[in-house]
Amino acid sequence: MSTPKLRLSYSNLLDLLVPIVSILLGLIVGMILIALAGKNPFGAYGAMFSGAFGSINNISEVIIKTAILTFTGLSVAFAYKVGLFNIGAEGQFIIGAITAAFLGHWVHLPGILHIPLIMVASFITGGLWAAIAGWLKVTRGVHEVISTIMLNWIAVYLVESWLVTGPLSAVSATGSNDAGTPIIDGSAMLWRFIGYPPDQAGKIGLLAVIFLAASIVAHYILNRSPLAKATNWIISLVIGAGVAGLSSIAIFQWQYGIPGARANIGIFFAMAAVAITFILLYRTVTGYEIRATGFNQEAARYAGINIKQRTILTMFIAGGLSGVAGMLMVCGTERRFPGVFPGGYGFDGIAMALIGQNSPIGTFLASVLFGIIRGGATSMQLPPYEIHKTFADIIQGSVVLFIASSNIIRYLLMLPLKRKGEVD
Amino acid sequence: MFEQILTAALFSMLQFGTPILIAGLGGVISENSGVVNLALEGTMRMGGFFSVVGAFYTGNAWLGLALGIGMGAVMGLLAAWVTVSWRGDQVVYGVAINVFALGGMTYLLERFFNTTGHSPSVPSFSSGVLISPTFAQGLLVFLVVCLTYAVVSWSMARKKDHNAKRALILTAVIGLPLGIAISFIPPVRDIVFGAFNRQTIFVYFALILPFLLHFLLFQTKWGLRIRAVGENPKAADTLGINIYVIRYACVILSYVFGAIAGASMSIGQLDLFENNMPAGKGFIALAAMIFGKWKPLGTLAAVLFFTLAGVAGDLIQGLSTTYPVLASIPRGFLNAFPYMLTLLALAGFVGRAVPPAADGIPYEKGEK
Repeated sequence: MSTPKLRLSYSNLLDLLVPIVSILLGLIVGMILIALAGKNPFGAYGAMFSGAFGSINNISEVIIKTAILTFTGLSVAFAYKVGLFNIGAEGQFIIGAITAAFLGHWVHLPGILHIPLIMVASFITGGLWAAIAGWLKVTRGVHEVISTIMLNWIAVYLVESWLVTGPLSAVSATGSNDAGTPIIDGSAMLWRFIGYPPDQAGKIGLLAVIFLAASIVAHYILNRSPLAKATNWIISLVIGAGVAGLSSIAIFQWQYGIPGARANIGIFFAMAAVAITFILLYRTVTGYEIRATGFNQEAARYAGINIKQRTILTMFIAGGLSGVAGMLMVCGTERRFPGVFPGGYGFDGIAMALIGQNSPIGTFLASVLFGIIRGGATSMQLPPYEIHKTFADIIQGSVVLFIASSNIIRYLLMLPLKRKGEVD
Repeated sequence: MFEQILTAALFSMLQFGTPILIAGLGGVISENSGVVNLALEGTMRMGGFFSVVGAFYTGNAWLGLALGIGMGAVMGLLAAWVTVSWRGDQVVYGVAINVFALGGMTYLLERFFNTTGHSPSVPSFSSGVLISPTFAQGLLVFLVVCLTYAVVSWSMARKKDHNAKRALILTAVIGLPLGIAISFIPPVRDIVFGAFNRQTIFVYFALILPFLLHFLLFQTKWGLRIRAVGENPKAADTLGINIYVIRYACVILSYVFGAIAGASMSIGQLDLFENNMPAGKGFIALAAMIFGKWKPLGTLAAVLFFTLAGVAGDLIQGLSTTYPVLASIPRGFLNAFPYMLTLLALAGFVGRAVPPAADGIPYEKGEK
């Protein structure tokens, strides 16, 4: 018979194994489909991964997608902690994006103020958009799924078929023939690692110094405070990733120096957001109350937690995260609210949160993986494979499908132990 | 002039509402048995696609529909296996199907038809059913009687005094003469004739279905069992009801309805599958179901409200030639109008939405 300790640790391991096995199974489903189409699955996957990492431009696209997916994923995961299902990430994303496009063109400030202002504003507008759903939930009992779906459509129509084609369009603002809103000011553009705006090296150097100094100071402070141990490794993760990212970028720029790659400092914001949401959720009283509310509302109410206020606050933060995702798209990638909006990031965020088991770190890792898959899927469209890029959706869908079937995977993973008689 | 606009409005209401209503009722049947179905969007997409594939290869729209329904049943079986037998997370499963259908149908569209735009034309129901004015009159009577029944049973339920026999008698006494009287008012008759002429069979299916489901859920032994399983599976189990059988049946039926809703778009309104189908209609169906408080007639009312708000935008556009003031309203506002109205209605007078008590909670036999 088993010892309780073994069972506990194996079940902990299973929690980690289930998403990993799901991802592997999802990739295998993708391979089978490619094979059924009469093409070489290994070659196609090779094309996908070399597509993702093959050139500086492609890596750049992967970095962009990862950053945006992380934000929308965190948005869904965060709302889930209070027990709300945020289908509205897409709408909050659009609201954040149009806020950024508006402030980027119509407000003129130096860069050091402009970008923070836009980020805070996008956070607030996206957050307020989501807070409507939170408010309706706690005061009027309106189910958040229906209200966020409605808010999505309202955002789509008001922004895309009114603001962007009407009062905020480039045509009416500057008289140009471009679709979408006018190009934002240079000061509102997120610093790209390569290419425009110029004088990159100085900015990156400055950024690196600030980033490292801030991380070290944070690490030092955390080490002395009571909340040290558990957060240490997250901080080091952020630092490690940041340093690695920066140094690789320095090398790439020195080696290739190709202009036009769109990767930007948004990825650092994404990593910072992961750390902040983690600390907020697991190391603060507010986070504890949010999780308590999501875990058992009645118990939380009995413990004196203000459920209504916590629910609205959670939706606000969740919406804010999606809003910043929209801001990253406008200030980092597109430089305007484009005429044909690259939607879907909000809905993909749902999958990221689910694959990441609603944990901030997991969501980030899922976003990295699907940033790579989505970035690489465009390369599979070329001959000889000619597989449409929505192939990434198939992989994403099957992975979530396997996550939903986690009990089956759990059962299968337990089988070898069962045979040994180590668990019952 | 007004008559023409109203006819056109009613026509597009029926077209717009049909897939939403059928899919929404699919959600109703599943969730009343305690299984959340978030996969309506994906199911519609798959059902719509496979109906086209079936019609393409057999050359027969009915066989196409049969293939779509068959696919829906298979998907429902899989969904029930994962979420009922293996107690998988129902919300996660629904999201998965939606994402999977998005990429999967694009892949299959490319495999079967070598395109990522839309499939070739296939035999379909899109030419619609030609009706006679007399048929329109009969239809009008039928609709008025059904609606009277809905109102009567709703007001009885409100007073917590529901009596099936009394409801039927009241309906016959009030609804029948009322329907016959209305059906002889010439403009009303003409509008109904104009709006229903050349509509597809799916429209008729969608109009009968809520009443059938209402009858099934609230007037039959099986309906009682379904609701018992959805509200308190433990008690139902104790009484010897096989929870798994009920939930399997309801989930499969739900996916079949989803597939039919998809077919009503691909081989109903059109004669091909467009790659952006169903363009969010599945989510609106979900919203309509919640709006309708998880009840068949409530969902019908929600879809009616929703389509009314939807055509209100078209109406305003139609009237803007006569009243130039209306032309200054931006198109985006008109498009967003139904959704804003729904949100306001939800916030204002619809009130708390209470799902079946065990909705979304997997049942494990012998669990304490």
